[in-house]
Amino acid sequence: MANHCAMSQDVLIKNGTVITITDGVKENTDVLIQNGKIKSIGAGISAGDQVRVVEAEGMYVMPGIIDAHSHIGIDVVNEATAPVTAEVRVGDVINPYSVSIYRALAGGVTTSHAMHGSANAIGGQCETIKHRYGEEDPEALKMEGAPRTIKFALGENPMRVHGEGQGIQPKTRMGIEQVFRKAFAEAQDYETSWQKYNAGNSQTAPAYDIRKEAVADILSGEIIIHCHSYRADEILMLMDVLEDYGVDKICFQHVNEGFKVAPELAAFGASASVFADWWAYKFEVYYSTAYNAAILTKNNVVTSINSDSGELIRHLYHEAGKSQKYGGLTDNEALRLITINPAKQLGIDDRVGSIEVGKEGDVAIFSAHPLSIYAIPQMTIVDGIVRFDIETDPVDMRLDIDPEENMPSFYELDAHDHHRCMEGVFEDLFTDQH
Amino acid sequence: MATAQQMAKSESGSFLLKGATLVTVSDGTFAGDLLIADGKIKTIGENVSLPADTKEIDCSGKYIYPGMIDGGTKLGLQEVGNVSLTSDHNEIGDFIPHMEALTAVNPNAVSIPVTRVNGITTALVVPSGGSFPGTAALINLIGYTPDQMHANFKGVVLNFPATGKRGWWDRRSDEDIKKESEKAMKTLDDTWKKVKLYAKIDSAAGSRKKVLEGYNPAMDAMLEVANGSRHLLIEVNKEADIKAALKWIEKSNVNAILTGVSEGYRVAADIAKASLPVIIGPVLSIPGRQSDKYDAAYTNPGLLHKAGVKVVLRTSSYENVRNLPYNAGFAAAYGMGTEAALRSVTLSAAEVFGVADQFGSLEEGKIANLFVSDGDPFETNTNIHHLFIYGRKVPLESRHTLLYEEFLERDPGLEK
Amino acid sequence: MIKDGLIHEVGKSVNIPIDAEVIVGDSMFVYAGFIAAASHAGIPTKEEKSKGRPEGVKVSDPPNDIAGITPQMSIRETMKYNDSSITAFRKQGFTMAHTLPKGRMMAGRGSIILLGGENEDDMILVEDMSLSGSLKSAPRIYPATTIGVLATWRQLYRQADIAKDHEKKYNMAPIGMKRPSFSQEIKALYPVVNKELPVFFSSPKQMDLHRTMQLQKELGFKMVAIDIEQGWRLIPRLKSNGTAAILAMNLPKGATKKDKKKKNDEKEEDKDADEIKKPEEKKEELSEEKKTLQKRIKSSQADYVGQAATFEKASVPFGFSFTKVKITDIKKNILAMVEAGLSEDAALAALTTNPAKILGISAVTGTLEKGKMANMIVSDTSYFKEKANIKYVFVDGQKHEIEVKKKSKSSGNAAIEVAGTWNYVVDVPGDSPVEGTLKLIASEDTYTAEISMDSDSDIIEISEVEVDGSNVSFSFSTDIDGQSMPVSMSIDVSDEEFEGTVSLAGGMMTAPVTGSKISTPNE
Repeated sequence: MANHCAMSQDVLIKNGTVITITDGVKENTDVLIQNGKIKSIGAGISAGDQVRVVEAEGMYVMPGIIDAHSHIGIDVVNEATAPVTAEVRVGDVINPYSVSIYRALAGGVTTSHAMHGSANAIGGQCETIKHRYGEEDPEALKMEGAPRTIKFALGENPMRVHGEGQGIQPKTRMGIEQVFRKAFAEAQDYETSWQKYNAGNSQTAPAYDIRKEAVADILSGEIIIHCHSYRADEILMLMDVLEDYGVDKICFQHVNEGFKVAPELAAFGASASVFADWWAYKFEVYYSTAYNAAILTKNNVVTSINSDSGELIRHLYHEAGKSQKYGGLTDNEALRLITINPAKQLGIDDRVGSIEVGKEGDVAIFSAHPLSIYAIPQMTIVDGIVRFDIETDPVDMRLDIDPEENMPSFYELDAHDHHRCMEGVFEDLFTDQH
Repeated sequence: MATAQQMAKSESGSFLLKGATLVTVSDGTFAGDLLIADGKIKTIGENVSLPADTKEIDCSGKYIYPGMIDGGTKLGLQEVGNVSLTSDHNEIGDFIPHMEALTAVNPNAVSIPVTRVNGITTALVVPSGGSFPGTAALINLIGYTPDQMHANFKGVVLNFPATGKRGWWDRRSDEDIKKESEKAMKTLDDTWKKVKLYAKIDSAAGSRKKVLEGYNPAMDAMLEVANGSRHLLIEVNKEADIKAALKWIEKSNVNAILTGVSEGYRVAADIAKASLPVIIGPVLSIPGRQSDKYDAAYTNPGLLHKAGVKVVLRTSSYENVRNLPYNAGFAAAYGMGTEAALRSVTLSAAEVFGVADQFGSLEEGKIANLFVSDGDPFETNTNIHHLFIYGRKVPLESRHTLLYEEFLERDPGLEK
Repeated sequence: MIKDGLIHEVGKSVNIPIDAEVIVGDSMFVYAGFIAAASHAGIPTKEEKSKGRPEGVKVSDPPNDIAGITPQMSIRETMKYNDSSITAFRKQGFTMAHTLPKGRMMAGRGSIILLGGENEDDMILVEDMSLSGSLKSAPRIYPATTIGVLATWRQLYRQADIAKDHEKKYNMAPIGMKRPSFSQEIKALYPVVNKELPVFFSSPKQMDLHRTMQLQKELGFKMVAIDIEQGWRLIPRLKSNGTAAILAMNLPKGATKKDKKKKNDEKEEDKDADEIKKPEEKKEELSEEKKTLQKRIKSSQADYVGQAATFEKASVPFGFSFTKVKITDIKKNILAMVEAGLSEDAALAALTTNPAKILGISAVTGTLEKGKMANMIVSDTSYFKEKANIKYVFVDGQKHEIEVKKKSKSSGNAAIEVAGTWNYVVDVPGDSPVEGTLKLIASEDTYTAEISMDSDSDIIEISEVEVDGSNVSFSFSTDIDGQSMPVSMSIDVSDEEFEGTVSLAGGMMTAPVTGSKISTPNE
């Protein structure tokens, strides 16, 4: 078997219905992945004897699904002790043994955006990871070269954690605005004083502050902001603040009321990553609608559907299908929500998100059209390596066994482990009834 | 035209649905017409003629299904997830079977129209919390009072002693968990002894009701469970716990329905042998153990069904009960098959709740709880065109649809 | 021969001075005194008052000491020359320890101490020669998580780097320059930034080790990885980085329990079912799935116990850390590691020459060589025999006699130990083994028993059972080929197993018997 490096392989997928996303749907078409990249797409491709052949007749071949909001594969979600914690990085605590990664693969997801939680107005830096389940080195899961991203949060979560929990600003949406303005202003001052020192205009180095450095990187456009947000007014607030500071790289997350300010989002160039149909779990999402994704799409906002959940990530193809029920999006519009659009939001659309020659060999194969409820993911390929194969799905998928656990514990609570955005925020502050 | 709190009013009257494909669930699928009158399915047949004062609705190319029934929800008992004062399903106390879910249902909950526009017409509303959290009730999703909504079934809930971990945050040691569940089991046995004794005394008292001094509503609520005329809905999930529950059911001789049953597939034969029905869900869940196959929750209903167990599906939700058909769709795709999955959210549910003579299928004489769709309701690109509950035509409006209408093309748009 | 605290002579025929105290060591084993490469020896154990957030503290910016940032702390501030851990370690054959302060992410400086002395000054051999590092976060204050801790490490490291330069520049030419601000924490990090003071970084799990090594790669400090419990998969990286490895002496709970016979495994591990069943019933119910899960846990446990052997096979020298292990478990754990494949030589090296090298004290200790410090252990037999007793420990030439507590024959504990239901196997010479169940019942102050064979449903009741400490003996009659035969059994019970002899017809035929416990009476 041709194996050019441990992290990529060759595979020839034959005779499937290929949903390219950017170039239409091609029936009875082959896709060849070589050295982990898509080499060719067409009918009757042949490859050497060494190349693994996957028969996809009667099946649907689409780009690996991308989840723009996730917390799987990391051991820590929230450093919730301050309203601004831009210096922390979830990329430091990737855990390649997380079984959730495998379960996401079994749902056709090849890339996820591992995010800091939503306890702070300015949270920590996030990490785009590829689901290379089986690799034991955490660094091997990082999508090398993916743009830096950071988590912001508006609304009830930071208000509850800091205002109600600690008695410090922010306790209201007014306060959250000032947290951003102050952090941005301080970071600007910090940058200026270092520039002065570096230019030799000052004898003493300014105090080093890793937090201000990170915020300064946001201001200089090096980091894409992903902002957990709900209410229309707070979405507008942040866009105003960013405009004042010349920052325009932003994707609003959840953004349940995004549909109410779709024209403004489109004009700013902000994108939106939403739930298919979650609502009513907090007051700020009481006035939302499942038609959010459709309204945003129709108003020219680049929109994706995400999971924020180790459970939901496994059926994002089904979540995308809901946009057909709630708003009548076409097949292609619906599938863009989980492929090329989240790729754009993560700044990796030149590499993944569609089946195009030259892009990375991330592919998901389904038994039926992915938007049908009856579709079952058959195989998920990352960089040309088959990371999930329904034919060889083992009984016990764990890679690392706790030597002290008597028998794998059974967890009663069904699995609504969504809203992990608040995980790690001390139980007494988190009162979600789920 | 929407009104202040609710949607547009539902329409009463007679309706003739013409030219549809009728998916009766009870008697197969065939082309035909369906006449609704006096709140009931009056006639099913070919070329049914239009009676007087009847509105004709052209359903050619469309499908008629019985309204779906969700076997376990908190619909109407919770308005906003983390606002605890909007939550009415979890009362203080461990043995409080007399807490009536029905009375606390908010008939005007925003979730109710949101739910029914997806074809769910009926739902079991279940209290939560301690060992005996209360009495669940079946409701139809229309009405301005709980009584109007009540669909003639009530069941007492028992949360069977559990030996599993409550969640990833449960840091109790194995020994602690064992101790606690043994204690809970003993408490259950003691409680049941008291219930049996109370029932004995009560039946002996006969017409002279006030034999027992004092007000004992919890015990009163258990009387019908003791004599078997009211079901006990037993929530139990872990394999070992299910086995223990089966033993307990046999010993106590209650009329039981198992709910949850997420490891039911491991003991399917035993459940089938005991002839107990199960209410499973949500199907869209992660497996209970890290070592389980990824699709354990998806395949569970199908495996139980194959073993001969009567399966009903539930969402356990308060705000997304509308996803019941998708839970059923996954169960269908992962081994249960569409026919059995459809039955599990229609007729089987009605049977388990003892109301199969009234709901659950398209049969003459049954109450007209049904919807007209342009395809398989399990598929997300299927739309529902008409909805009937109690034979009333319910507008397909909810807060979600109204927001869609207002904001799809906002006016004013960007300009001031 | 020891003189003035040093080894004066080593050899087969040494001249014995007249004033020497002679210890007869016939057939005794003398070892170089053990060295704990990382420990908290001498630091008293303090109960952590509360696990929650400390009162009255600014959550986002707490005082350094509460956040766990105390790199300037020396063990002098907490160490006690007479702490019970010193004696306890010494009893186990330890003569020296690298003691690290207890704390969180930067607990302070470690020192090498002798495990014996009249006061702290006396005991310190090398002071402040390491920085204790860990990823332990602060209790619900910043930094409350691993990511906060790592960010704080980066912040303080860079801050120290800059401050060090500033101080240097200022000292050379202060005119016009703002004076450096004095922070004892930052100053304490200068030698770390200068790569002079190594960081002994606690890295228990594989992910911890990965993260500490990543941090080291990024910042460049000298690092020794300690407390390694699950490091074998990172051996190639440790090797290529040249990072010294100190393996944890503690092992996972339940990993060192001896392998029981298959029948008993099921009872022990299937804690899922709350019901008590007969062993036969349980056997059927254990599904393929459970058996596979069981195997995986056993295999994982074996990996942990075999870690030291794996490091040896990969030619990575290592020491041991004792920060988490119960001191009385040390011998048991070492023997378990040896059973899992660690050679005795490698074990000894990990306790002597390797730590001496890693700690930079090879010149003065670690071996029995003329001129080196007289740190030695005198054991009545090979240390690696379970029943070995350490008789003397010499610390810096000072003799410490170790008392051996004899296990009393009729202590209350023995009574509980032997009672219960046991499986037995009689190894019949020239024939197939006979297996069955033996139940030893304790009532008040007498013992009775019930015995049966697997091949037979009869249960024979035995009314008189003699129990003498851990020895159990009894007799009964059984039918063999229609003839009534007297049988007597005498077994020695230890923990969950026994071994002994069965003799038939007054000694006409004897056979060895072994057994393992299925359950104790209270289960």
